[in-house]
Amino acid sequence: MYRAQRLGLKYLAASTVIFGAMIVFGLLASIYYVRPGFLLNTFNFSTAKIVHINGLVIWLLMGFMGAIYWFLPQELEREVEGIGLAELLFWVFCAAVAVVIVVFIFVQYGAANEWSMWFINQGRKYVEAPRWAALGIAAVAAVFAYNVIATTVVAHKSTGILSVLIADLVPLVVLYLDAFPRMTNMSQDLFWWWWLVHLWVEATWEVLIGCIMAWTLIHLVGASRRVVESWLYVEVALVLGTGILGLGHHYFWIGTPRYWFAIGGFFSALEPLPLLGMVVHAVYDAGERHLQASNRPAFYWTLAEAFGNFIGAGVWGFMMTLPQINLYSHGTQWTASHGHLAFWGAYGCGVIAVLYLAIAQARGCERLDGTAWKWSFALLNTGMVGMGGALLVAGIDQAFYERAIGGSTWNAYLSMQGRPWFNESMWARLAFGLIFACGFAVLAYDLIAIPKQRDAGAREEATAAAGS
Amino acid sequence: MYTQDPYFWRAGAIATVLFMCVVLAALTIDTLRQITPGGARVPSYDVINSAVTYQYDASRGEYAPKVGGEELIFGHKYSADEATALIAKGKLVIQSRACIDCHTFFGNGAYYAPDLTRAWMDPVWARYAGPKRADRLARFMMNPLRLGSRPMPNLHIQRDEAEATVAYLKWMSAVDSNGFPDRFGAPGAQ
Amino acid sequence: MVTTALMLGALVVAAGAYGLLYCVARLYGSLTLRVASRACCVALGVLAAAIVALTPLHYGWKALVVASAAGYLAIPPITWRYLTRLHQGENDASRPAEHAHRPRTRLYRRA
Repeated sequence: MYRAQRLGLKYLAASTVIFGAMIVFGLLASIYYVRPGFLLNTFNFSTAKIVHINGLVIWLLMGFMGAIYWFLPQELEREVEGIGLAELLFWVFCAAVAVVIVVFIFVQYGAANEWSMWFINQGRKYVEAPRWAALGIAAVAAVFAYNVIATTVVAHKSTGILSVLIADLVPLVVLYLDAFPRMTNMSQDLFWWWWLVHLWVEATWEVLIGCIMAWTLIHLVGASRRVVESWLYVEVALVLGTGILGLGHHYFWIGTPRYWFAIGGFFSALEPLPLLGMVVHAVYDAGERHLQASNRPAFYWTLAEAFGNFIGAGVWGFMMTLPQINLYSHGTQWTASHGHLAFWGAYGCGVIAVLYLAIAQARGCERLDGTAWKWSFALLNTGMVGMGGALLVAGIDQAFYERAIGGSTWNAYLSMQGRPWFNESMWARLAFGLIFACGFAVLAYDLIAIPKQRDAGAREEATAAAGS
Repeated sequence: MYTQDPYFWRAGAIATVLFMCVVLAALTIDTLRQITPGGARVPSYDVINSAVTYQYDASRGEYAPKVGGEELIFGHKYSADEATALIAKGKLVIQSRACIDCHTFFGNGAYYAPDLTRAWMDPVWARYAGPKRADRLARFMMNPLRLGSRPMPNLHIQRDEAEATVAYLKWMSAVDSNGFPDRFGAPGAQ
Repeated sequence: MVTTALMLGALVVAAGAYGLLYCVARLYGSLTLRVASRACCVALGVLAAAIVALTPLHYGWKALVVASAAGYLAIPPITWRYLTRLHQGENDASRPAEHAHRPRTRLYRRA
């Protein structure tokens, strides 16, 4: 195994651990909604939420990096350049994440000074990590980009997937520069903040997961490189063609000019179109192989990625993207519903597919099937759909009663939070969150238990056949 | 056929991305110009010396902030530089306490606490005018009362930090957010 | 507002259902599935018409919804045709020379 692949497995393992931590703090955050005053002044909602959403960013980033470290040496048939530095930085990254989480939990916030910004909490959503940690993340990302680019240069060859990945890594790293500045003007702050958040999750990350899925299809089902690369180019054109100016759907209400209504609304409404194309492609590939693959969990999670992306990002996004709707849905649980389903569908499912693929390959399993993965697949997806549905009901209730009728005052907000549908939705969200957590537990068990032997699936079938 | 050639699609992807980036760059330059404090959309920081209300604008068909005559906060008329420094400090307070992880600003943030875009003119505080309102808001932040079922934690906000944050909220309430939130504080909107 | 939002969401759901059923119908040559996919097309059209007729959106946004619906109707057959030709081209004996230098991907190399 290449050193980079060992590093990839480490990153994938770390990402799974952080995914688990994210779920724990997500469950905690959901308790506050049903038990007001829970742990008041000891461990507030904001702290739980910060760990939850920063965990989201880190587990997905680590998952992407793990996937790329896994596939890159195979793509170029050589060790990754600068792998020693990358290995060191992995441990630095993990240590930094641990320190940041400990400070978030035990220190939580500081006084209004630069020390707090540098060492405690920057207080900007998704990028609350203090500046010293942001510097560390930037360094890790820069070295990661160097690993990919330098290896390609030294190998004196490239592929279509690699070219797209390299072109994507540059803006991905540069956009992270928004994690540092502190701007007084909230309009300006949010303007640049959305460059980071939207152009990550609705642009550069989409291309990144597209590259990872292209490699996954090649390794999983032996898809033709020419086919996946052609499709990748189409995907990049459509996703970035709609997503770059679709950034404007975040610029309706932050003080920016009114032309963003037309631009943001128009391009944002087009964003689901390429996602439908991905669904067609997924069904085509699945049908061509009669839903058979040597690694069934990886195959099904890859399918889930296409469908989840379409539903979470496409359906939910289209529902609330027009300015006339967004005026009322903005800043409600409707947004949270969309966020949960979209992140899960677009990225979570993809990282889990790679987890199964990489771990099975690393342990020499040429075929993988079983029962546990089916349980975790069902529990995780049921849990997520349930959470998204519960949040949707709460969000619609909120958009109607708090925003449209109540005028979004404090009283409108507070009385809204006590409405029966809202409360029941929060309980339902918590219940489905527990189902999701159970799914994660089974997933973790299954990943650890992937047999260290060949033909695990065939052996299980033989055992089952002998018993019947 | 050319559509079966990957390089055709690669050229299309590159052209599309470049075009969109150029358009985004142009719009960014214009937008940044328009959201600079002191413009029509974002007021200068010394708006904290004036009365700020939120009214229906028939010509626009939506609610919009309206800046009126002098209405001081904390018994002081801030110069432009003083106001800038005070509001910069207010933003630092907001970030140091991670307010955006419970509240929303222009609808962005967490949904566990009320939106703060027009908090300065919320009916809860509106019965207090000018300096009294600012003082009540500051004292609330320093020692949050339980308003409704969702108590706000005590984040050990000092008096000077609270005043800076109040100033920030007043300035922010004067930003033209294209009618968000709709019908805020309108009669009967409860 | 809520009704409009739900209709917009339902329109995209109908598009997704159409895309899925269209593909599965092509894969299995099933008449039932083809009829079901056509039903989703009809649903998509009805929802688009309902949004135009019943919602208070400005005519520009209604035009965008109608154009999106047309896009959703066109994407499955166009994508299917493109993928079929792409895979057929891949199955041809001759390959373009510029692809010859690309490294073959190996699944895994043991230490």
